[in-house]
Amino acid sequence: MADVALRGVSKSYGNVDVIHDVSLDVEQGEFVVFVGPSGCGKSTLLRMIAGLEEVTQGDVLIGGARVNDTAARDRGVAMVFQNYALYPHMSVRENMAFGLRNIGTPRTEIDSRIAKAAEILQLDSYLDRKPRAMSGGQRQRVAIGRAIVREPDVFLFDEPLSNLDAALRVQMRTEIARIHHRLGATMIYVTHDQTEAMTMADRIVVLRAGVIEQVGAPLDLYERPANLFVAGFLGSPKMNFLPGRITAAQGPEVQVEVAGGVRLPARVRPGSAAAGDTVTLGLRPEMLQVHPDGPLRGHVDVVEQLGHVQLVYATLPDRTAIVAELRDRRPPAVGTDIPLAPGPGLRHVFDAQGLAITLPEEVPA
Amino acid sequence: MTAARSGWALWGDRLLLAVTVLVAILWLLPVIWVVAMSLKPNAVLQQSTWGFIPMPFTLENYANLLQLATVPRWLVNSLIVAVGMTLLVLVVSSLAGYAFARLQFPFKRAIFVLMIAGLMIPEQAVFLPLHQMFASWGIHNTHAALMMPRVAVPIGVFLMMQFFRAVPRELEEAAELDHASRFTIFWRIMLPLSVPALTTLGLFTFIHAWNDFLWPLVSATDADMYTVTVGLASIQGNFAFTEGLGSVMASAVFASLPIVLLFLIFQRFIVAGVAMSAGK
Ligand SMILES: Nc1ncnc2c1ncn2[C@@H]1O[C@H](COP(=O)(O)OP(=O)(O)OP(=O)(O)O)[C@@H](O)[C@H]1O
Ligand SMILES: [Mg+2]
Repeated sequence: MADVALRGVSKSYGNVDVIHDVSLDVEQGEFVVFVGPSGCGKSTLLRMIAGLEEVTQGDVLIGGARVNDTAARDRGVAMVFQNYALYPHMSVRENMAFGLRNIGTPRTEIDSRIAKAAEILQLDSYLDRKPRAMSGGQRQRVAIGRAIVREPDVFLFDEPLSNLDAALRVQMRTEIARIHHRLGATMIYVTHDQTEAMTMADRIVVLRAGVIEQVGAPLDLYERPANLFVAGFLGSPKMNFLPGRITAAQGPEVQVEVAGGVRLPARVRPGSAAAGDTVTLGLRPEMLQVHPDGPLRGHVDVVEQLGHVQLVYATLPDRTAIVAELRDRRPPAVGTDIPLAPGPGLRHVFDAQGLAITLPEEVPA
Repeated sequence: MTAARSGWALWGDRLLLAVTVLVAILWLLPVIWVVAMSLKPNAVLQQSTWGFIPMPFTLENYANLLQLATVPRWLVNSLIVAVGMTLLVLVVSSLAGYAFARLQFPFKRAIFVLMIAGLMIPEQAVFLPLHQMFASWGIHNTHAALMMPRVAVPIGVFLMMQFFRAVPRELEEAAELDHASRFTIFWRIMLPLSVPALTTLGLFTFIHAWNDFLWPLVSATDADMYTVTVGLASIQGNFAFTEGLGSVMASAVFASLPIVLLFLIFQRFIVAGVAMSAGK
């Protein structure tokens, strides 16, 4: 078991900078998820921790020791790859035993560790099969098993579930969470799926173009996104962004004019905005309601019936697209106009640079 | 429309099959002829060599052959050279192929270009210097001399390199995280995965080595060091005179037996190998 720290880590391929000055502390036993759009550098960061990629600048520390110049095999980390990377010519048992044999673990010890991992992952009946005779979900479990038996200080996962179908993904998600609770090991998990990030993480690291945008607990990021990017990335459907202008500011209280003349009150950090400032108002789809007095007039374009909720895609008079997540068995008809009102819940305000200036709500104790 | 087209396609297939069978028969006729002659008494052969059916039938020619002390000796030579060469080619090709595919080392490109350039040099062009070099070392008429010039085969290195390149990098990275050293990765992961490629390369090398004629002819001047091909060629003239044509034919059949057996056992790999070298 060990903590992981990144200190001003950068990575360049030739003169292409892929990671810029990333610093992060992952505590011992923590489950941290790197999330971000494709190409933002999640894998590169993970591979630098594993030792599969050289660090251009800065330091990587595992268990307090600088490991920049330590070979991957000596870092005490195990990695689960997106495409499993199982050894095709070895049985499941041999796949799991390979790493232990290489460090001369006694036979009986290897057997007992494999038995334990097989039990955790329900692989008992597959131990003598070759990977090619297994389904994607089973292969992924073997790949996880191969990591578990080594009892590494740190587990690294690079989009381990992205090749699985939706149902299996949900199942494996909970399985990995269970393993984390059971082993209590440090885990760093890469995904571009915000649902995986929200459900699994102790803390989420949101990356964009090689830069950390925000780090925090899932709910923190959801409720207090630091900027437009994080606000838009977490949550499905996405947060609605309404371009607007401050018309009045008094202490934290401001009036934001959106959608061609609708004024909505919001609260910002005192002094962070003045009348006349251009801002973006962020409203989560689930806080919008159909209400007779609703100030936002939406023209319904599409309605998606999901059973427990209905997603209504509408256009405001200023042509801003907006999504409302309604809990109404009889949603509005396509082509009609509906009055929408922001219900209870935080109204996010972002300044012209896209940074959040929302006054955080007092969390009731 | 489709029915008519598939009708034509059917006839096309049949025509192709007929042509293939015809070519195969034409190809096989001399072989059958040789086998037939090897099974006929020499007295019959003196009157006529015609006929594909060995009537009357005898095994006398083969018996004669085995009584000759030199023939088994040549067979053993061929076997030593062919097996030795095959093993060495596999070792050199897989190691070099892996290095070119995955390792970083100084002058890699230059060395690779040099190796590929070796493909373009006809073997006869270096015969003379090779012969003199071996003569000055005094190693002609040894098994080593028969094998050595053929151990570094550019096409073998190239084949193995291409194969290793196609192995996903993650496999090696996973092994590295599994504490495997570079050599363990090569030995426990890459080599087992390349068994199909190794088998193909090994088979072609063996067949090539067994059929090799020119270099053994030049290097092995001592009759005890002849390989089967050189040995049989050397006796053909007066053997036909003293022992009869049947014995010459029997010796030819005998010499090609190992290759025929190989073909039968490894048919699958040979077909795959031809497809591979055809750039499939
Ligand atoms: N060997 C390389 N040479 C040059 N650029 C590279 C190399 N490897 C990766 N990159 C670049 O680095 C950036 C980050 O790549 P990385 O694989 O870390 O992205 P990612 O966040 O894992 O994306 P994905 O979700 O698609 O896996 C990309 O823009 C990629 O083009
Ligand atoms: Mg990636």
